[in-house]
Amino acid sequence: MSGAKALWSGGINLDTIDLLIRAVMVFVIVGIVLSLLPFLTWVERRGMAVIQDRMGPNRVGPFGLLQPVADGVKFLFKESAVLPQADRFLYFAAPFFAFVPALLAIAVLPFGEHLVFGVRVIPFHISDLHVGLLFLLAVASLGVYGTLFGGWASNNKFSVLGALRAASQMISYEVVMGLALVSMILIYGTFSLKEMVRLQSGFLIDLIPRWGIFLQPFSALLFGVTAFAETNRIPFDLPEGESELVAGYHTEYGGLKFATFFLAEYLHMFTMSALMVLLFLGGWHFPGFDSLLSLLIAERFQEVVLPISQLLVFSVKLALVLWFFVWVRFTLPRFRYDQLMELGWRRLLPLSLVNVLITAVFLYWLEGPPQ
Amino acid sequence: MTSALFLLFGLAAIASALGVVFMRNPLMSALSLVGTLCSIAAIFVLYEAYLIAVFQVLLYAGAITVLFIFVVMVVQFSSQELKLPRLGVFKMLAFFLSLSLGSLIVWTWWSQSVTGKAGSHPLNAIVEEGGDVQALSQYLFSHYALPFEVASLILLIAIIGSVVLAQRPKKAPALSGGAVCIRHGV
Repeated sequence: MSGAKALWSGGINLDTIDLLIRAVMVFVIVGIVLSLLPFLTWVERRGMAVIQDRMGPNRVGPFGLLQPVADGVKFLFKESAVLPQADRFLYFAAPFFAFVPALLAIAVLPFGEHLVFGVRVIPFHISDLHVGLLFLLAVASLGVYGTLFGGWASNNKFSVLGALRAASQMISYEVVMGLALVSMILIYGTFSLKEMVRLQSGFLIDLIPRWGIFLQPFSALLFGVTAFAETNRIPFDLPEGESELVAGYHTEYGGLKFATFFLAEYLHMFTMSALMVLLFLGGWHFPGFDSLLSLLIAERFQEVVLPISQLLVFSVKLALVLWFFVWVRFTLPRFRYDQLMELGWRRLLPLSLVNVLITAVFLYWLEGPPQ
Repeated sequence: MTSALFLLFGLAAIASALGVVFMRNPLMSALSLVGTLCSIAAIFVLYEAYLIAVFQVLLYAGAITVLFIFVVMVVQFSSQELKLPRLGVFKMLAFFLSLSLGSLIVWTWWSQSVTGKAGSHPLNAIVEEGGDVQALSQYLFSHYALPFEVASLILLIAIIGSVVLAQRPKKAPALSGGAVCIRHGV
């Protein structure tokens, strides 16, 4: 079990340096993720441009790479409107209700195994909870409050509509996502994300790696669809449908508050992509890559290079999934609200239940009754 | 350290619970409820019941309270409706019930009948099973399978009941075939 159990039952047996390493890990991971997000907005805008056969931001810096910086400066300097009719506390608090859960979610994401420096083990995660997956779902579900309160506090019919739609969409697809993940949990037998990745090493048959997407293709599909719905990305972005509700629940938000909502959305997208990579695309495993590297690199460098290669593999897969998010956004039209609800409750939910049933029956047939 | 944290989260839970009851704005009450639930989840973590803690946040704070907030937002209560009506009899009943509940709690603490002794599944038994998740599922699906199924049946009945209760009364079928087409179309 994780260090938390040792922390409380056997007295504190993490010495100061371990605690320091963990604290540094928090800053490093959060820092890296938060600084990647503006880059993600650049990718989105240039990707949008490529798909729409035009240029995209290319004024600010080479290839428009400083555009996110310009956007950040703009957000900082915008007038922070105080709405007289809005509920003061909820209006100020709503962006944080969206942002803090999104940030908490990356606390359980593992980005690699660990780095060994002599005696010290530096893990590539902030925390490897044995209920990591559930924790992630729990904090993700807390993000709905940001949407709800943002819409309500703006005291504006369009915002309230957007908020209610967003919230009902998110909770409907949370159910389907949970069931899609139940099949994965049945197969892996654990809630710990790191353990799930470890179980995806090696090959399934011949050249096909034992990744989640090959074991449970339908769950992968379901998870992909619900990930789009959870993060309010097109084709599920009716809550912030630009041509329909102005901007939905964040209509009345400008400047830094809007930037917070915006960051929260991209952070959520990042978390869902990372989850997709960890559960279905083998995490940091690329069968054959490890053995290739251990052949090429000298013995004494292997201890450092192999973990770095894990980070690299993870990043490449993550980048591919994030590109997929961007690609779908500018390819598909938006779902109407009733189509969305019908899809979630009347099509995907029964299918996910059938998937769980088939998985359970299959596992029982393969492994017999539980001991 | 543990008892300091327990004190902290316990006080937070109590303060949020008082907020639920005494806040004027129903949305702030719902938000206080979320605060209470998260504090209780933290207390579960202190008791090393990690799975229950996560369930508390995932299901209760993350889904059920959202539905509460939905209802509050959609059925926008006027400030008239929010004022407590003169309840008369029910006020007396509520007073006596809360008095008896309070005295039960005080008596339990006084007689110390729920402290110290280990339950039937103490900590080392849980470690033997391989962790709290394994221990919980082992017992839930073998010894306590019947209460588990009964609980899910009760939830199902509640869902069906609420759907039935929320249905609009059936209108007289005096409409032409055109209306039927509208009803069955997408």
